This record gives sequence, C-alpha cells and structure tokens, in this order.
Amino acid sequence: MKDNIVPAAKARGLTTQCDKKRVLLNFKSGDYAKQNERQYYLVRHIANLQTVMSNTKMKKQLFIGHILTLLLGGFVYISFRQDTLKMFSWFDRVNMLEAISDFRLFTLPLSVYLPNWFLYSLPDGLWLFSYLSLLLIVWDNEISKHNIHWLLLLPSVAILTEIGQLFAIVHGTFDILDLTFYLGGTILPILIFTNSKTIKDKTT
Amino acid sequence: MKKTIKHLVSAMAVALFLFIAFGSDDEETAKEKTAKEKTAKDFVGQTFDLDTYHRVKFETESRYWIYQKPLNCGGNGNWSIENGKIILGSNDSNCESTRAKKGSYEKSRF
Repeated sequence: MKDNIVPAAKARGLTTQCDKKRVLLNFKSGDYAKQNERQYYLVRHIANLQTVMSNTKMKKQLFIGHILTLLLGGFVYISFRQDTLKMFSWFDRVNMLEAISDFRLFTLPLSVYLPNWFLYSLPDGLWLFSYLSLLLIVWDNEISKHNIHWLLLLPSVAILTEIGQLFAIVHGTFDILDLTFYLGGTILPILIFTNSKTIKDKTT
Repeated sequence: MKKTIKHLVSAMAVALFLFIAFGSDDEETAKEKTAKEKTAKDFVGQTFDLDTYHRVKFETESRYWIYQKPLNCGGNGNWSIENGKIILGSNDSNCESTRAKKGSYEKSRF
C-alpha cells in the first residue's frame, strides 16, 4: 500500500498546495486511499520544512560560525598585535600595509585596556571554531570515521603544541588560557552544530 | 556532495587554516637575532614569563606591563636596555611580589 501512495497521488494530478488541502479536507476515516494521500503530503511537507530549517542553520553556521569568527580573530590580530607578525609583511607586499598602519593608529592605543586573554588566546580559539564550523558544514554536521581525522587534525596539532610547550618540547610559552581556548574552540562547534545522533560509524 | 569532493574541500580548508596560522606567527628575522643583537624595538609587543607566576609585556620601547597569572596584580613601569641587560624599573602593581620583579635581567633570558 505504501509504495502506491506517490504514484496514486501523482496519477490524480495532486501536486499543488491546493491539491494537498483538498485531500486533507476530503479525508474521511476508513478511506485508506485518501488517508495515504494525506500521509504522503504530510511527510513531504515535513521533509520540505526540515530542508528549509537545515539550510537556515547551515547559513547561520557559515556566516556566524565560520566567517564572523575568522573575521573577529583577524581583527584582533590586525588591530592590536605587534607588527612583527608575518602577515604584516604580506600586507606590505600587496600594498595594504599603509592603510592598515593608519587603522592601527586608532586601534593600537586601545590594546592596553584589553585583557591578555582577549588579545592572545581568544583569536586562537576563534580560529579553531571557524575551522570546525567550516568542516562540519562540508560534512553535513555529521561526525563519522570518514571525516574525524579532518575534523580533529588542526585541533590536535594546536592542543599538542601547547602541551609540548609545557614540557619545553616545543618552542614557546605554555599558557593555560591558550589551552582552554583551544579546547573551547574545538568542543563548542561540535556541541552546537553536530547532530548528536550522527556520531556513529557511517558506512554509506 | 560526493565524498571525494568533501575530502578535497577538507584538505583545502586545512591548507587555508595552516596558512592563516603561519601568517599569525612572528617573523623569523627577530627570532634569529642573538640576544646581543636585539634592541629595545625587538622586544616591543613581546610577552615573557619571568617565573611561574609573573609575566612581563614590553608595550613600548620604554614601558612595560607586568602581572601575575591569571590576570591580577597588574602594574606598569619603565624599562630600558643598559650594558646588554634589560632593566625593569619600579612598577605600580598592588602586589609586593610583582613590584619586587624590578631589577636587571640578562637579555638572553627573554
């Protein structure tokens, strides 16, 4: 019976919203054919709603989770950090350094009022948040054995590097705040965007 | 999206974010300088740990900021390089241990 629902509905030319309403209005208990038609339209309607909601969520994830976080992290670096970073020599090569230096005349004095976690740790967390948000979009917010290595590649490098600094294996200064933001930037996108039911071994 | 395309996009994302991380790294030129060659300008914007608790940041070529981790007892002071050593002047921290960090330090320590 179930296999006949779609062809039966299509055979009757029931393709528009008006048709759907007509089917619903004509539905009477015991009339199995119409009941199946109603179920068909309800299922299709729910599927459409789910698609719309999923697209909206994906857009939010792209613009807020990926782009906005990356821009905010970049803004902190460009506005408040020292100009000995490699990116400033890159800006110089593309003739952007002068404009950025003018901009920094306004922003740099403000850096003394900003906490160190904002200047030095937050951008790292945002970097990982942006990375994971992007990759989760690519993989339809599902974590499986096929993508776990991509998702955890940069977070693992970042976290292990920070821990390596603690034991003086890696050059740099260990900071518990850096590690905290790395962990936050890794865990939060997974908690926010991933469908909990999808953390499984998907073989298809 | 096909799985092969997803893997390809993922690899590109990794490359992009590694590129960003590389750009946020310090220029090697400053690091390659020996402690003897470093001038006050080379230290500006840099942050160093004096010990387990105290961290100093050279904000300008003459001012430094020192604080106890995590983020309390902060204070400002003047600093300079004299006879190859970094001299941290008195700072206005509320903590005695932080104020006691004024003094002379080897450049190689930073």
